[in-house]
Amino acid sequence: MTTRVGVITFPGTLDDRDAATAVTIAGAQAQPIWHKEKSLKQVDAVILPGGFSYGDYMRTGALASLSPIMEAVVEAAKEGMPVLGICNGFQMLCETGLLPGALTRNTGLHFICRPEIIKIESNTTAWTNSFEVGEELLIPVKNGEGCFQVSNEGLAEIEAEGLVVARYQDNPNGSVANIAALRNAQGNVVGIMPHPEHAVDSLVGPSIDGLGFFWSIAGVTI
Amino acid sequence: MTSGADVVGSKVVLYGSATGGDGIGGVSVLASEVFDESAASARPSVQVGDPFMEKLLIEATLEMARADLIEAIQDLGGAGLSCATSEMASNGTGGMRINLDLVPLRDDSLSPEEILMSESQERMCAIVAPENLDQVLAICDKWDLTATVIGEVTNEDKLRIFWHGELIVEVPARSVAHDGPIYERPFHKPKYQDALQANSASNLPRPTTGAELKQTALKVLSDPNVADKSWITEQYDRYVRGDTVLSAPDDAGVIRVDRIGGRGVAIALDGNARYTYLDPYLGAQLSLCEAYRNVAMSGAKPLAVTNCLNFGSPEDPEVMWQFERAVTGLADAALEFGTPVTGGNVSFYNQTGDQAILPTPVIGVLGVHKEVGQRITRAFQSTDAPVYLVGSTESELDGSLWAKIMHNHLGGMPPKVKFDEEKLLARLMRNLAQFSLAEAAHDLSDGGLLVAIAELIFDSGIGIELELPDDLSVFEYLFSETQARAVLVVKPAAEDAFIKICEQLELGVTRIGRTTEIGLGLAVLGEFEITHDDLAGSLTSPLLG
Repeated sequence: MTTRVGVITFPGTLDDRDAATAVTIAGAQAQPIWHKEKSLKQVDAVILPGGFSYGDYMRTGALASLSPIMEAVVEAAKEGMPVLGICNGFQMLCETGLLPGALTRNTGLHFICRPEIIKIESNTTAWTNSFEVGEELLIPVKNGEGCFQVSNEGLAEIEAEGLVVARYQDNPNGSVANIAALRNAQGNVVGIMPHPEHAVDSLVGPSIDGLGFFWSIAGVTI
Repeated sequence: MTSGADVVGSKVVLYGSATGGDGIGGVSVLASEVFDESAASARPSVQVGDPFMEKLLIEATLEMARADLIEAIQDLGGAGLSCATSEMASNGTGGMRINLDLVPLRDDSLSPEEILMSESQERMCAIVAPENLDQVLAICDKWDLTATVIGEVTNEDKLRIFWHGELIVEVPARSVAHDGPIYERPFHKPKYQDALQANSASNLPRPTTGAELKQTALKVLSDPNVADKSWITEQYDRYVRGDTVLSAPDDAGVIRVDRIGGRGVAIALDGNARYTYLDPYLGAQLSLCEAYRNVAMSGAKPLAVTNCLNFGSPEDPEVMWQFERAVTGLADAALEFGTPVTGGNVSFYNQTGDQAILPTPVIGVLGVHKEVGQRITRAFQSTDAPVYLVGSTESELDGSLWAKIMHNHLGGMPPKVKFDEEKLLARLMRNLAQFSLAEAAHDLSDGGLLVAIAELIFDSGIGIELELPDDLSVFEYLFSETQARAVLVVKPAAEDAFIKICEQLELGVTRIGRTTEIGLGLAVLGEFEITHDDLAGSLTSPLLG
């Protein structure tokens, strides 16, 4: 059966359409979900897309993490539903506590939009099982607050448990340990700062390297 | 959707931000204020933007449009409510009643004049039939936007505005919207103009040896106008919504508008203040030619023109002459190209004291791609591929970047305008796109062949070796700014077909060199070589990230 992936739209979400397109290209079915809804409509997985929900007021992702739908997302995630947070979605996952750490202002202070190379370190998550460990992907970053921060103890735990999903080869924003993507211990929740949904069509993206994330959830074997 | 309120009984709905004291008189004050010591008094006239609110407004408006719920709509821009209500009434029945007491305010102390003139951002005004009102209000509620019915369309012949129960405005809407005063400002040719045009750059000292040419080239490439702009362009999101086919540093931006059929639009904006100062009529035309050429480079068919005309004070008869000449030149050029001017914007009073800016018409051209997948880019991958120069080169150095950078000189006549050659070049590019014969293309503009070649090398990382013809000096080939020219990297297997098409179009082309290897930089045979690192160093030095 075709995998149904919910794509949640918050006020200020920008990349919901891109995420839905990527899901469709990968052979799964995209289900739009409005943030004021309370039910996940029996989807098999959820994407929290990029953007600037609530104008990034207070902290990035902070207000969105209190939206009605997020209660259902957190509950489902704890029960094992695959959840992918991209950029602003990664920030929301940190705000809800589903992932450790926080995303802060880039070290260069500027918003940066350019393709970067990331290297896959974990392929046992719901979102990266179609990749090889060590595979290098060319994927756009576009963030102003993409600098991942975590305490020394938190970092030690992340490294000890192997929770880093991907690292930057040329760190654009000052993230500790070059972390570009992170998972929970179960491997169903992944947060990623670069945008795989912008690398699924070579006419408009720098590569199609992002497709693997969506193939992984669609159950496509290559 | 239109902006005409032509169904009697329809509701006037104001939605978005509350109205505040910001931006009062923004258009009229900012547009007529000379920026001098007293400019601080204009500060409250500056509007404060809120991108988040703007995004909500866009989404809500698109949702209303998709459900076909609105009769007419207009954003609140210059002159705020007074402009939106009078224009919408004028475009419709001519009658409208507005109750200003219903307008949501950020500041209760605003007078009715201020409410009418406020240019607070992120507000929209829609005309909605009574049966659709509930749905429109529900969409605004979904996006957390305040929406208020502030009046309705009438079959009266006037716009009537009430405040505290009192009729405070009663005017024929058409008169406000369309019968504005027309100025007949005096203008005359500046006293300096003839001497300026006589002061040609052709007598300036030129580099002659290979070493001098190399030094000149590196200096020109490190000018901020030539520099790599990625420090700026990387601060903007080019990927969002997944339809950006070409963006910086390509010659035109290309957006796919139809994912199934593949249709797309190409857009380029250009302006050259130095050419326009030398001759405002020709300068405006040259700006249009460059934008037309940039759109054509992507393989698109140029279709329409827009503009932003930036000048000093029109009360100065010499500035007014520049404006009159530029507008006439633009109109004549648009006629030549068969490209209508669909709209535009004028910015006057750009000066400090008596010192006006150089006249700066910025011209935008929009073109169409039948199939965006056929677009031609600036990036190439082939080594040992032929490099061609399309168009003929003359010695045209007046107003050039070389004269400015090396001699701080601005005088003479700008390069000749070549409408027929521009049109032929555009046709060639469409043919090359259709048959996929070009690997990369880049137009020649300010900085001439040198800058175009350097940018091609910088973007791809692959070197180019030039062997220039001897009908002009190497210096003239590298720095002349003759119009209607482009550099093409032709696919090696397509060289014969390329030449055949050029012959059919009777377009002059010259093979001027070949691509070499990664990292080899620029070589001008018999003259000089610039390594890739030196070339990249010059281009990136002004704007290091």
